[in-house]
Amino acid sequence: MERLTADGMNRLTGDIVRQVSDFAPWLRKHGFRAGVPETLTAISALAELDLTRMDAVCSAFRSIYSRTPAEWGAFPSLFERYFCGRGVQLEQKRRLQPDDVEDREGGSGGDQTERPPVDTVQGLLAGYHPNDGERYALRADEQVLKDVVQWTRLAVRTMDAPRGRKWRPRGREKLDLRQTMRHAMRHAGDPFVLKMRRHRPDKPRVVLVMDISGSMKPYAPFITSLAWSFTRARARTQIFLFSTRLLRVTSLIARKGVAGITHAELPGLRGGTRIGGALEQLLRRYPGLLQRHTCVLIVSDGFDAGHPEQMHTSMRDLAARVGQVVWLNPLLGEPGYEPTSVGMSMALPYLDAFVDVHDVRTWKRAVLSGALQSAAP
Amino acid sequence: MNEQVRRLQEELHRAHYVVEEGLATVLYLAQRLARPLLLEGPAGVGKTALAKAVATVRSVSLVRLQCYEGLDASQALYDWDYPKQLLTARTAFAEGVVNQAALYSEPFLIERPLLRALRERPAPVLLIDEVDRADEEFEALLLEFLSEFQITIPEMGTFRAEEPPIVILTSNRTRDLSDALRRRCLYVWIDYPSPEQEAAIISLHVPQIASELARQIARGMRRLRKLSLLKPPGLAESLDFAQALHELGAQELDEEGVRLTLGCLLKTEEDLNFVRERGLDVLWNA
Repeated sequence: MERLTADGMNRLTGDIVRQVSDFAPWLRKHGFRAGVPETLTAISALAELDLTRMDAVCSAFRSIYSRTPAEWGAFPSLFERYFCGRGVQLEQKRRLQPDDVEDREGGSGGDQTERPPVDTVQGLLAGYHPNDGERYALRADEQVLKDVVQWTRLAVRTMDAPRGRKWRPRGREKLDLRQTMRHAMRHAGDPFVLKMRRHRPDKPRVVLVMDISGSMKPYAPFITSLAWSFTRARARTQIFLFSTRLLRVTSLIARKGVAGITHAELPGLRGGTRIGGALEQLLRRYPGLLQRHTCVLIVSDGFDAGHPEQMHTSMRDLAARVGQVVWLNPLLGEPGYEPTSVGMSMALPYLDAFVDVHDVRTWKRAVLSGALQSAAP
Repeated sequence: MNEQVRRLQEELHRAHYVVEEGLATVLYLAQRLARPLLLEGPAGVGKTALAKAVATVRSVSLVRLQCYEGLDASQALYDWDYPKQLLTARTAFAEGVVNQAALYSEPFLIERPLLRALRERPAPVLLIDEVDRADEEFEALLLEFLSEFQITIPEMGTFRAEEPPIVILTSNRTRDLSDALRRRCLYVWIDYPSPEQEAAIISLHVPQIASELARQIARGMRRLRKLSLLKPPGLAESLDFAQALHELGAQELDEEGVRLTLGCLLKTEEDLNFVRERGLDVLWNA
């Protein structure tokens, strides 16, 4: 399909082909999912372009290697650094990558300039200031994955599912001509038996909004497992992370939740918590996801550094728009904990369920208690 | 600039579509490499219009598949004409001549957009519009089509395009598209145009409008889009707005003209109230 022909390659020197071949691995270190097919397409594209016009080459490569708006935005500077040698030098950047350090002979791991994750947990006040807190990579806990998936699948079965627009073969609603026709062939073409069909129930819609501010760090492996398990259940799930802003990570969690997601793959998420602001972004940017049958699961300890009024209006609008809002608070089971923080008290009136979930046992209890089971729409 | 890219850019301009060099290059490559083009961007920036313009430039038909939730193979690929099959089967049985295979042949086949795009000559432009509205399962259905330009009908065999159509997919990002789909496409993010570009587009579509007014509208659109609106106005809205102002004989943006035509720009009550409270002069005062 890439149509890499010898004619096209003749115009390109071995050095150009090597540079382009090395570009994909380099891009992968910056979070791009570039592989051999992209390289082949890029080389084919070069055969069609004027190589003296680097802006045209950049435009072409941008469309070949980018797959998301974030990659689209970051690509020109990466292209310039790699091919034009301006800005930060390539070699300097290569040393930033821990994976790369292992590959290089005598690599100097000590040259890493990226701030390593801090191991200290800043406690419950980490969300006090929006710029406080810490970033950490997400990785599902393999020990608990199997159990979590089992209970998540059960949870999804209890959720409200909208009527699908697809039809299933049996039922009493509408004639299924395909089945009727097939059946009629057994009776000399006479449609003695009219096969009917009815709507299949659609998958439940779940929007999972997870707080990854510093105070949630102890629960990160479990909530990553929980998020990943939703991608393996029969539900239409969208997963968002938030701290001071919102980031959709559905495909990232589905693909890499178990292997681990590095800091570099979560651009723009800084320490601190602005739940109200994040929910407002969710309401504004993804209104199509928030429908009558949607169940929104918010996983957070409720410590909000944003304005209480923003939290209030966001929760009110969210509850009005979706079928169910469930807050999973990992602190709720701790002795002496009361949901009296400003953010939490603003949210409580709009919640359909407020449950303690911080490990498999509590998740199982929440599912079996019917907390996720919606009232009839 | 590559001569062919420049020519494509000019032809698109003549088809009333202003395209910058980068996008023209990608369009040119999509044709040369026979790769589908995935366009993402906010609503109303001209993603669908680009497919129409390409069809106009190439003087071929535009085959459009509008995606929606529940879209499946029988609506996108092909279907069988069941009533016709039943009648034929009854007649055949009455005459004692039964050929079941003949019932699943060309005369009973109903072409849906994807199959039509494969078989039509000259190859049309296929627009798969708002693919994010369709289900994930439908994306899987598209994979064979997008990578091989072929469709397999179990009863008849595989249909392969002799001349691949130009395929343009659009998405408003209401959900993430799968990696498998993205991998098969060239990707372009189309954002709102710069004020200069938008003024040029307005002048192209509403040639009677004064150039200063077109520039004022373009700058006003930029300011409006910076506000936190539920539905920021797209390019289609600014063209409607420009046309409306022209019809009212406006020579420049003023309170009266904007008040009368605000409905061309803002499509929700909340946005209308928000802008009215903020003051209509937000469109022309920095």
